[in-house]
Amino acid sequence: MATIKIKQVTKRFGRHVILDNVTTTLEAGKIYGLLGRNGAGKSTLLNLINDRNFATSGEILFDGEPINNNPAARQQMYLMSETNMYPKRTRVKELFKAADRGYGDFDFTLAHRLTNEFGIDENSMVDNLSTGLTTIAKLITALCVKADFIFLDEPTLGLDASHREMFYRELLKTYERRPRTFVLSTHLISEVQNLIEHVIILDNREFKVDQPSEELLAQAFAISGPTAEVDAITKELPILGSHEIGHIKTVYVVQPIDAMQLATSSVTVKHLDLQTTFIALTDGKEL
Amino acid sequence: MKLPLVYRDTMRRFGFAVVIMVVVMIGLQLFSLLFASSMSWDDIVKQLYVTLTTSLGALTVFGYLIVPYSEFKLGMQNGQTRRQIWLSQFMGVITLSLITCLLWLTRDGNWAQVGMAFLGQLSGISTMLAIGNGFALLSRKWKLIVGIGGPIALIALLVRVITWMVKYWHPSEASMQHLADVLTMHGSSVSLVIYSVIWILIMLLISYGFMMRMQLRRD
Repeated sequence: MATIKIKQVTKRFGRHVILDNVTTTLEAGKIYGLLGRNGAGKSTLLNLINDRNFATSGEILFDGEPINNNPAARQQMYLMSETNMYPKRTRVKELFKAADRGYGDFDFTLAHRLTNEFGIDENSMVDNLSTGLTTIAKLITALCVKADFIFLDEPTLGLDASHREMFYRELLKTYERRPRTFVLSTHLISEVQNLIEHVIILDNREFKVDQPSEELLAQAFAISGPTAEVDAITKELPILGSHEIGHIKTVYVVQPIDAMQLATSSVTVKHLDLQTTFIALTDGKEL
Repeated sequence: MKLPLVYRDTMRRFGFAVVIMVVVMIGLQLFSLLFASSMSWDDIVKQLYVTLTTSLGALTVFGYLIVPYSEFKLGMQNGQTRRQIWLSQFMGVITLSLITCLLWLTRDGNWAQVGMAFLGQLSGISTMLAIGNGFALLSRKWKLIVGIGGPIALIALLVRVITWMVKYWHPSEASMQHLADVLTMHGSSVSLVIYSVIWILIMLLISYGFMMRMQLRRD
């Protein structure tokens, strides 16, 4: 099955470097989480992969071939983003028709069901919809399009909690029905933790993490206890962050450690969730 | 054969613009009847038709100054490559040139001139497509700079060229007539056809080059 290889890609806007020599592979049939702080370069990376912008150097290959002017690649990749890519006065149903004309075999049955469930009128103009409903219209298009790599940039922008839950449920349903690659770029990390199989964290212009989420979380720990004891136990460990409340200190470590060995009657060692791990890794405070 | 996505959308938008233009022109023509009641119905219809066909020519030419970037975005969103988007643009240029010339044919009935008129329209639209694709590469700031400075620079250059021609080149009347024919797309000489075809090919090449460099802008 096809893969997307990002090889030593650098992207500069003027003198400002957004991505610096990044390399990774997106495999078929996986759900990726592309995480990063505001301005990290997630949207830029997604635009490069989808040939909307050019890399300053490096290459992006689809099934071994460069993506630029590659019809086979373009037909297998779909990017849903905040950017308005449609002419003014485009109706919701026209998004679906355009996707059908562009990619073929658009799932109109699913699209009609989802517009009903999310409460969108297909005849309404996208320009007249609220931020949340615009996102939903684009999400529905992304879930129904016939492509093997679906990129969702901020898929929950403007969505209320109920709609977010519906989206996650529909994403899983469509994934089960037809496994394909989804790349979710989102700030709501705690909500997508159980969806994501593989985590890519973009920080400081490079990939800080690029591994299965289970593997990452297996080595992400919070060590809590009396300050003196915690300091003694974690003296040799690379601490990514910490906080103190009274005499109790908690430090965050992301590396393989022997949790059983470190834990004592007063010091606890627990696994971190994905959001806390992300914050610890990208906060940049190393002691 | 499924029509390319971008081509279909552009034709729909031009069609919509033509409908608006027709409605406005009919309205204006009817309004002008209040002040020109001596005109016959035939005169009114003929005048309306002449205005419409001329305006359609201008619409198709200048329309391509503004649609390229939205065509690019629509194509990119829906799985098209830059080459496919440009091919859609090329189809659009041919289609609109043909439609405009067919309308001129029904107006003038002069088959001999329609061939040259088609080439003239194609020259105009392909030039605007090249400029429009070039504009689509620019940020808002540079669009203003080029959009205002460009025509001024072009006029200054033309004035300079004409001054040099007057000063250093003393052509015969035949040469002047030939130059006037080329610039106004009149006459049916083989050389005129060749110049037109060369110009159209250059403009299409330039528009292609610009499309290959087009990217999603941040502004």
